[in-house]
Amino acid sequence: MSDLVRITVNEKVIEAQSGANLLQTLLDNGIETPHFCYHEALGPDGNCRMCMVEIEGQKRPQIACDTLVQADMVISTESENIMSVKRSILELELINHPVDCPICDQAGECKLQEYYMQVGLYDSRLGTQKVTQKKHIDLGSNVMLDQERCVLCERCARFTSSYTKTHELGIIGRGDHARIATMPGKELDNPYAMNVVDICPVGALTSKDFRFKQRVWFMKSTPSICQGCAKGCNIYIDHNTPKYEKGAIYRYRPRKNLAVNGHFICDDGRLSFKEQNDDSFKGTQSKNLHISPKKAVSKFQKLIQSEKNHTIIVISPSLLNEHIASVLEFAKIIAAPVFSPLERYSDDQFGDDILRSNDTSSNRWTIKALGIETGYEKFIETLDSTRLVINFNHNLLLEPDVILSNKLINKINVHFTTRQCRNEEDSELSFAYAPYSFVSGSCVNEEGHLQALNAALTPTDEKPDLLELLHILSEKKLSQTLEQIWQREMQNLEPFKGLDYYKIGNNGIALRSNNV
Amino acid sequence: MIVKIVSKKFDITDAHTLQVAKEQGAYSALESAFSKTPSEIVEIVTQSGLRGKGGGGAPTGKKWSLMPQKGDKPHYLIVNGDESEPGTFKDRQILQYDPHLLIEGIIISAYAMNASEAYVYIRGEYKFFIERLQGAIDEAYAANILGENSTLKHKVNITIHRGAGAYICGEKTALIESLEGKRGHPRLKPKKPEPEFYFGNPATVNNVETIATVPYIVENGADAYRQYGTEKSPGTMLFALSGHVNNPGVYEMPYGSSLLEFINEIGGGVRDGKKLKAVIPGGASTPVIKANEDLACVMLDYESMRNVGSSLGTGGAIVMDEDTDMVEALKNLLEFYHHESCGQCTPCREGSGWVDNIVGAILDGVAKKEDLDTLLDVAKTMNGKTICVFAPAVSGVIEGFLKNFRDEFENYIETGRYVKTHVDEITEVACQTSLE
Repeated sequence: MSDLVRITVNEKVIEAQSGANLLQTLLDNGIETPHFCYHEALGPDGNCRMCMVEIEGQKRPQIACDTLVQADMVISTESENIMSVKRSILELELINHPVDCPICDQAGECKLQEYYMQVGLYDSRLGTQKVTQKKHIDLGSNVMLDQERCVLCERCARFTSSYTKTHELGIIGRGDHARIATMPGKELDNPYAMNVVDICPVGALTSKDFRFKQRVWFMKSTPSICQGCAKGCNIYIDHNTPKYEKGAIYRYRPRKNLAVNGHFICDDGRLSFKEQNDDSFKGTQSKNLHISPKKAVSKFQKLIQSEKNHTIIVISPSLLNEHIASVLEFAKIIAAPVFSPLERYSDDQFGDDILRSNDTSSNRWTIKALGIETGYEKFIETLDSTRLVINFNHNLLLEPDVILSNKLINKINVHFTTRQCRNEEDSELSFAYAPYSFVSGSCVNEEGHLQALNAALTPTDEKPDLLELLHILSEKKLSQTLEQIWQREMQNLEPFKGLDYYKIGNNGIALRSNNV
Repeated sequence: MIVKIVSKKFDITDAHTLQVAKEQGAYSALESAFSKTPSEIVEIVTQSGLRGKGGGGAPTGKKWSLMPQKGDKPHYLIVNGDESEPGTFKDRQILQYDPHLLIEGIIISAYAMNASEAYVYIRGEYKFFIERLQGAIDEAYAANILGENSTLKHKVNITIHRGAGAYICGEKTALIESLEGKRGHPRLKPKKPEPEFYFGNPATVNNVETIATVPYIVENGADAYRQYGTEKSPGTMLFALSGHVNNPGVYEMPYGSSLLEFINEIGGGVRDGKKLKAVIPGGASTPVIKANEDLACVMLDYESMRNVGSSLGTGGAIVMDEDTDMVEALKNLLEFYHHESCGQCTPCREGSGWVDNIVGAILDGVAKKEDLDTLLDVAKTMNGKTICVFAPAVSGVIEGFLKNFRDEFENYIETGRYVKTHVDEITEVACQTSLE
């Protein structure tokens, strides 16, 4: 079944897997084929009838999504006949559509709009009333439904039946009164619910969180990795920095990576962009008061001198590889032991057998691979005989429980953090640094898949890149940029030897797991 | 013209009870069936040329032989009694007057296909007929004809499933979806011939009348059945007659009988002595035939109907007299399809509504002349681009009306009202009958 065969599409010969889905083959080869109901993750359903192609030897146009590739097929996707078929079907798709694009949040990324431009461009012949339906139904889980805009492709309903198996959505009514709805007494309620917004090809399902916040054509999309758990789902960070204004992230969207997350992400990951926009904590502080960066730097340098041999470093297992590399070098310079307790980075309630992992750290693999001490007991033991605690964004120290708080109260606490520390008044020094959306870097997911993050926004002076910060604090002994750190510090770390950030690419690299 | 095979016991009082039915020879075919192997029965049915009576006319034997010979999955027989096609009311006669014939047919067919569970899917509106069949089934269980305690060589259970009122559930794959508890949406067609699947298990869907014909064929042999009808459409069928005729009803006749004779002789001619204007020959979904010389030669078989651009369908003829407003008639039909399109495929979901609205606009006197072209254009888009044959049927209905009565539609658009058109009397012509 999996032989490579040749087929002819629009008079061009392409190679394809025999028995593969024809529509997917066309799409993979960059041949534009309009479709609504087919989705790579959900398979064919054959209801939208948009992906019609002409196959030599077949009497009628066939839907590509329900056709299997056979050797020597001759296919046309753009003959006059097939264009007119597509135009007619699109016309039908639109007769009961409200065409309210100016107030529709999907405008700019709507398949109906795209296909109208590609194959439509006709004048409306509709002389009769359109079917009217409900326009704002709150389905639950931040998903809003506009039944009028819906093309009944059933992707959302199929998503809840085949992917989450929660079966909340279905179709009620028949004919042109058919509409998407939740099952009686149910609301859309599953940890992956908001994916239906992405898979909806039109403006029927929109995100309550995102809608009306930003027009999509103003935004840029940056490929990155969700840091919400150890799965490392691939995402797009959609952001916009208007001229003379501060940039902001408006949403995360899943990015297809069949080796990691497939086509989707969970809702917690999706909404985690909000923390990235949080600007309540910035600059350098001492005991909850802002101090100048200069003063903070000199204070820090004095501290590490005076407390030499009485210092420990704690790093979060969610730090990026580059940050870990830099901190480890820094630890060597000041001869301090490094700990990364895994306490607070697992949640039995979070994981499932779809995408979510109970491991809520995003880079534990690297911590383990580098042999950094992860035990809580060892950490407490050493803590008792120490005076200066330098924390790199570890939750345990940012939000300590009562027992740990009592231990820390007698210590000098220094935090490098992306967010507010709970015991800020006990913190001798706090350096805010830019969270992951602002920097490029890499992390390794729980399966040993090395993946690259790209900076969506630019770090500010008040929230600098941690590499930059350590470069200054180490009196320029440590690398300042991503390129340098991959040339120097990263090469000291066994798993990353011989690799280069720019080699990782958008799909990541599977590392050998025998390093763990 | 009348030949009674399936309708043999229709006129006998209380033939729906087991006692009377048995006196009249019910279940007598079982003995000869069980003396044969299942594959022998499939062979006889194939030889008889029995065609499905649900509208498609597919050869039954071929369908049966798709059931796998090997494998440990249970086989199912599903009997389609969803009879929702306007103008079609034949299966209910069997359910009402001779339910034991259906049960007998189910036992033999289930034996032939090695199925021990049979489902009869009947439209929910047929409450009376469902109760009739259930009564007969209960009697058959009590008499150890059905069920675990059956004394027969092959034990069968029969369960009636009541439909919830959707026309599309008469489509076999939508029927199975509905039977599985899902929404009645037709399934994508398989790439190669294969049986249907009920919860992943091989299944065959047959019409009530088809199954009710099986006992006769098995008892009397393929040739006995083949003595009626034509070469390609052998046997008989329950033809229903409705509309503007004097004697509407259900009559069993061989395939290849004359349509006009059916209307005039058995149907007693057009009501009130009026002239015949048109006939919808096989249930609402078949294209209308205009009353002219061509109609005089139309025979009630699949091939003859295809030659005049229509179809035999379910064999339910709807007769229209000279006063019939064809725009109104089309609107009546399209309203039905608008209401019944399941809404799965775009061309059907949106098209069925649009064509109904266009014809509505013609009736309301607000349509433009171009609208007729739009109507035909939409009909063309609805043809051959959907999962099931619902939309192509609607397309055929529209094209049939516009091909034969376009002037009436144009008049209507121009004047905003029905203008009676002249209808010719059909003159006697010498036809080449396909009944040889």
